[in-house]
Amino acid sequence: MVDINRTELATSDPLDLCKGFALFPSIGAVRAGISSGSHGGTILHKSAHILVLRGNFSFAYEVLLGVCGPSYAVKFDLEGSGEGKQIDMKVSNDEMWAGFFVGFTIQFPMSAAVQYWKPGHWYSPWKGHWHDIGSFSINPRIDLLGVILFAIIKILGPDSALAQINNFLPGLIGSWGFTGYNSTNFVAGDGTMTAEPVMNIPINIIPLIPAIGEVDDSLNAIGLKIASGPNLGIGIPVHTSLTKVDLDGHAYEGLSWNSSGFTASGDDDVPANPSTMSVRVTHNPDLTFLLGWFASASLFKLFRISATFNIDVLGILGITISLGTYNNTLSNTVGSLAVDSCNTCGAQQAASPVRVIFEEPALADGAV
Amino acid sequence: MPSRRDFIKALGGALGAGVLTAAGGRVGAPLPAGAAAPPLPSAYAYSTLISTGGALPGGQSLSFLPGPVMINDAGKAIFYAKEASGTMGVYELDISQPASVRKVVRAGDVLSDGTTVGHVYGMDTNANGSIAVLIYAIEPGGDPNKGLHGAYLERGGNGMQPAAVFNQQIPGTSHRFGSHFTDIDLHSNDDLALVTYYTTDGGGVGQSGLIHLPSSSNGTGRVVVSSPALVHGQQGQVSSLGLVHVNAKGDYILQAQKPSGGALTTASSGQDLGGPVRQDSLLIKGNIYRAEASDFVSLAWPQYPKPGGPPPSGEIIYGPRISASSEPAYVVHITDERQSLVLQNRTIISSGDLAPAGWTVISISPPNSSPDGLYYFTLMGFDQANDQNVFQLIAHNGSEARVMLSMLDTIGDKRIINLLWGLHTDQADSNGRLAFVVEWDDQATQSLMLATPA
Repeated sequence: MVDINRTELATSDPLDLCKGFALFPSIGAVRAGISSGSHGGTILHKSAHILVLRGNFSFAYEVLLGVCGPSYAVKFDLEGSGEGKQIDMKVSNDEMWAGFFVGFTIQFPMSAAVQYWKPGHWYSPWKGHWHDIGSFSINPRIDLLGVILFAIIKILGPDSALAQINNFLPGLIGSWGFTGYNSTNFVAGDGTMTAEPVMNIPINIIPLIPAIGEVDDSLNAIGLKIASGPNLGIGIPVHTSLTKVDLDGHAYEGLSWNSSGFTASGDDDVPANPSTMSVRVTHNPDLTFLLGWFASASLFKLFRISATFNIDVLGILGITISLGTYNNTLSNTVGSLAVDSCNTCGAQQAASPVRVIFEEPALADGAV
Repeated sequence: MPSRRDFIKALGGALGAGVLTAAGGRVGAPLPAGAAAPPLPSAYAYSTLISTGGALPGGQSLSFLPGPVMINDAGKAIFYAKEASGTMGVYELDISQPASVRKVVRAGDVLSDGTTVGHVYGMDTNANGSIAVLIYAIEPGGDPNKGLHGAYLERGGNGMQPAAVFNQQIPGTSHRFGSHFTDIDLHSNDDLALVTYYTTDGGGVGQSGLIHLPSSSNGTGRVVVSSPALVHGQQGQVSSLGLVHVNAKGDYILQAQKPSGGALTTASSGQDLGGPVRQDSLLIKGNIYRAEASDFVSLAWPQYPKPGGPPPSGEIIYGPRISASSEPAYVVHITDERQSLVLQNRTIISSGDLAPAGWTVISISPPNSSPDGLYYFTLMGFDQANDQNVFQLIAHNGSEARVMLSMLDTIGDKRIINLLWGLHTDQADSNGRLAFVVEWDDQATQSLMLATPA
């Protein structure tokens, strides 16, 4: 019988999403790293005569978006024994973190003007005039996620997976982490560990921005409602499993899970004094990533004009994704309970736009 | 020589009230042969319910009437108004005792759920006399700039109770209300129809939907129409929903849009990562108690409207209306400045046509209908001969029209220079009485008026 000393295998310790595996890994960019990008455009520009009113409404947007991930970070310890062509391993200290860090600064130039036609005195020359009811032109720049944080927490509760983090990308006003920890471990999950951060935020942010508050109040006074805001939907269920163990290049697969770990078998005998252990971690990501924006102007049941717009967030970041099964490998010296840190990734690196091109799932193998 | 109309006006002035004959005429083409039309009243009596400067509860006085006003079969007029202190609120008065004004809800009120009213941005009433409102409310101790939206319902004058608020589960579904309520309609049995964002089970993608919310606590709510989703018989997905009107049968008409041309987002490889999508207007018709929309009116392509001809195409900007007999009634914005009125699936009058008074119509208000089958709308124009803007309030039965009021008509001792119509759906009750806001020629006074068929 060969003893296999307790060995830590981890993307990092402590877990760090920016040092984790990308959910949609790419050639040369197995690590999640940081991506950023910007985009702008017009959402709605509309003018119309409405009864004795004439209105002009214009909404636009400019987005600066930075994200670390989406990724997952995982760590676990393996120890056990080998006999013949089979290993019997115990899993402990297994932990997983999935999600991403995101900063979302949006600038949305908007203007509205409403005028009201009022005739002169009837015995005067009877000429009418356009009277301003309200108008504004404003270009607020906000940390969108910060502004709507209260709503996120209302949705997700006090145990929200969302928390403020240090800025990881210059130019962003604020940054937030959207993450989910595993709710179970490999053993209890019969070899699969899942983390599922999910949120959905459709919200009118006009009243939430102090700079627009007074204008909004004056419009509300006549019942005119200007609404604009995001419809942000994110869900990242990540299912990970351990699918292969290598000891000095000898592979053991077909993991069979039991109450404390797993057994696996290979074509070769277990080496007498294994020095390197590698474990293949397989994950199946699912991603819902919607960032929509709506803008509308309405006055009770008289009228309503609106426009909706969906932003291809991953497109801004230059990311194309393929759902499927992805493999990554964690390696360490047998008996080592420390892992190397990743110096080329992580939240503290100098940020610059990074274009990440992802590959077909079948080609996605990387190693640490 | 004074006309009979002038005589009646003078009589009204002498009596301190107003009775005006409704001048007959034709607006639009006649109904097809065999089609029945309800009779048009030959005259209306006008009375003032309250004017600016009048007393409001709490020692306040009325300073401004923005225009939204409703009337119900409980004999109450409900109106949105500004107090002299600057605070906006919703008030109710008894038509038989107009001096008795009751506050329904006003900014600053603390509601039963502990929230404070920021402002009201939607309201409705029904034959029972119940009142529903959409409120921007601030949580206890919360930041006034970070309020939440919700629908509240008052029955029997017993105060507003929350009916649908942010993150509340929609009864009978696994969905939750979102944070943005677009419109509200209160109809039979105190049931509510809400156009709102909602989130699907598990925090999935947010959707906009027409939600049926029964009044009883054990009732089952339902998503009647959702966006994005296919509508029965319609090509393409509905991208957004707007204003809704529901009649006593539960039949509804819903303003909607669907994208046409292009995609909501384009390929990530291109520079064009998305852009404004041209959106076609759509009217969805159905029954609030059935899931599937039964009918729709697509208004995809501009056409030149002809009186009596088929409905023109263009945008639906105004809130659409549905009559007691479930006929859609709406105004189409063919261009930004050209509009057509459609009643009973026929074009009645358009911008550029002549109003009964002979001036050219510039714009048309939404057409509100009464339970007895009449439609009421205003035509607005500009009298170039006299260099003045003008309006006429028209009653229409689908075939014939009567002019109820015109600019500079005299009621009592004052002349009307403006009349606000169509800011709400429920401006006529079962007795054919109408409620609306007028502005007088002193340019300082507004009044909430009641018109009663004489």
